[in-house]
Amino acid sequence: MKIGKYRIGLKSSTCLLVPLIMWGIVIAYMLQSRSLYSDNAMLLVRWCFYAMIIFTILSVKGDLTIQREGDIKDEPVKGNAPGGLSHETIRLFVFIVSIGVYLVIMEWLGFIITTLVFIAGMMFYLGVRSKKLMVLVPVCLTMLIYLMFDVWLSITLPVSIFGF
Amino acid sequence: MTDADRQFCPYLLKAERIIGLLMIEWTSFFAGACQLLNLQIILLMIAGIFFGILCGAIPGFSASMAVVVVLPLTFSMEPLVAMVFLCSIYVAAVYGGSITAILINTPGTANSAATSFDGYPMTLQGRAGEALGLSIGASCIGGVISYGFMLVLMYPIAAFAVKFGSAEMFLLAVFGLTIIGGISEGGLSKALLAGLFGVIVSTVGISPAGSIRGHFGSPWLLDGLPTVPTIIGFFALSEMFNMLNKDFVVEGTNVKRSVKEIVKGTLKPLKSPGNLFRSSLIGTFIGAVPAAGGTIASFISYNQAKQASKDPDSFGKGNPEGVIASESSNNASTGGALITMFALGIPGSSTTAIMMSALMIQGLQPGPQLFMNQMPLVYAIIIALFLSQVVMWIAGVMFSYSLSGVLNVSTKILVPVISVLCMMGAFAIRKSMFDCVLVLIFGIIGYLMKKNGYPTIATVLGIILGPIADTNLIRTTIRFQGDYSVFFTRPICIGLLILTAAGILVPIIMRKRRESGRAS
Repeated sequence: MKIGKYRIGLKSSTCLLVPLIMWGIVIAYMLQSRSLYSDNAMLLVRWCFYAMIIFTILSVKGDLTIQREGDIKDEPVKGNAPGGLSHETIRLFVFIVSIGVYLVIMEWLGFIITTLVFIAGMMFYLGVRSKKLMVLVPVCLTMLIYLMFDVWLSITLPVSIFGF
Repeated sequence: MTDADRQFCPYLLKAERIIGLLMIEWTSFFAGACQLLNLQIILLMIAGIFFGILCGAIPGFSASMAVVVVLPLTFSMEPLVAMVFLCSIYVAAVYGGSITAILINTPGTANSAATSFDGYPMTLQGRAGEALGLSIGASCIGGVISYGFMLVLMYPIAAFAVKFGSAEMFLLAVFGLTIIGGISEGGLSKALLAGLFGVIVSTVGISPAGSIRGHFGSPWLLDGLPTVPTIIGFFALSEMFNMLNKDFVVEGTNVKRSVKEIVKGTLKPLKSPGNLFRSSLIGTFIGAVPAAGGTIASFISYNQAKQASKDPDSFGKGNPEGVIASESSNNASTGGALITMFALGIPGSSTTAIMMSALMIQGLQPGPQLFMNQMPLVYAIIIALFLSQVVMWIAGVMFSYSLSGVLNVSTKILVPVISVLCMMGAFAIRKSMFDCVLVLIFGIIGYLMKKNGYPTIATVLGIILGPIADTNLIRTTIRFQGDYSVFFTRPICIGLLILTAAGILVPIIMRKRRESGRAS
């Protein structure tokens, strides 16, 4: 952004993401609790809320870069080619989505089936090609968790529509 | 001393009272020791220690869950056998959480969250064996010091601990939160923003006054934000996201496991007697305060060790002193919690509440009556606690050696496996898939925070200490009808205010001094 002779930028493209997420959650919380705002129940929250405003301004200010137009040098573009996502980012995205799908499907297919598929699938995606490992690791871990939680510690794990 | 002396010399009377409190009743002590000469007790102590460490190392599986699982087994046991078994599980579970905190940045229990601050960086530097050894040594010595206090100072500590009302508890939580001021990662404003976010988020659900605050439409949040899924998300899952692009936990090296290195590490805490004793003392006292517990004790001890250190900047980057402070303190808190339970019949934590019920099932009433009628039993339990630390040392070395093999497993296998363990650990607490979703959400937020220089430690601290501060501030406001002068008139409050002020000012002064020293 350009203001007069000065160009204002951000240190990194994602540096505002964290304050935005934090404020998204906090504002949703404050809106839900607005009827209690002046109540004792929000005593500590109120003070933390005001303090959060101050420290957000200070944090964001620290993430800004202000340069005079004459001082701007042509810096090499960091990261990936325009429009492209790095291999690492895609891998992270796939992993996060897989965990999300794993949690959603577990309620229908139960712990045993989903865990077997999730571990084997993720191992394959991350580059494991040994068939022995692809079978042994998911089966052993699923059995171990099932025996420990369900049988030994009596913590019932999610059961599938097939009854196991 | 004669009655005449007592009448004319009040100082002598006072001294006699103090000595009376410190003195051990040797007849009962030896009678208790003799009761322990039983093979069944020794075998159950060993079994309890192994089971406790295993449970503590599983993310999400707390000491209270470990104790409650075996509780039905104790119904048919003799009171002493049952208590030794339960106490062994309790102390071992508190220690067990540190193994995974050090190896994979996944604290098995909230008590070990502070251990991962320096334990995991040590692992990344190829010093996992040393860190694991430090944690065993500090835990055992911390335990021994607190059981020493238990043996000789049980009543004075318990009497002091129950003086902590809501005002004192609020200031204790605020004192714990001063750690945020010392976090150097990302700068002070980011650390404070992250900490404040943690405090606000931790207050969701029903307030102590009974009103329902924001809970995002989920009934699972009415009880507040569960601590364990948030810790697993911020520490463990966000670390899994980082590990996706690595081949091994410790990049580029084949980690050689060595029992010798672990054993050597167990002796290293002895080189820091000041830190060890201070942290154990903090752990014992805070452990004795009802509803405070090992987590707050370990955070406060960690902060005190940092402030006392000549090189505070190295904390959070693999300083052994951090591991020593956290581990000695959280294990010492077990002694403190048992002091309040045995001496006053007040459970200091959920685990001691379960253990109290076990005692009552056996027909015994914890509190002063137990001391009058069952003194040898109390001494036998205390002696067993000392012995359990020896067994824990051996078991700790064995577990640490076995589990450190995880460092040589490829992340291609480790990441999916640990992710599933994290999810199931979070699920186990309330048998709720919602907690697994929380792990995922906080894992993503934690990852983004790390990438942008926001310390996740500050948010976790806010989430752990926030509810304590919030609950006790509301209670104080209601009880004293909004008169906050109570914070400046009660002696313990004044002490805590001074400590808090020192906790804020000392790091600033020290930082300025170092900067001016560097400049000159």
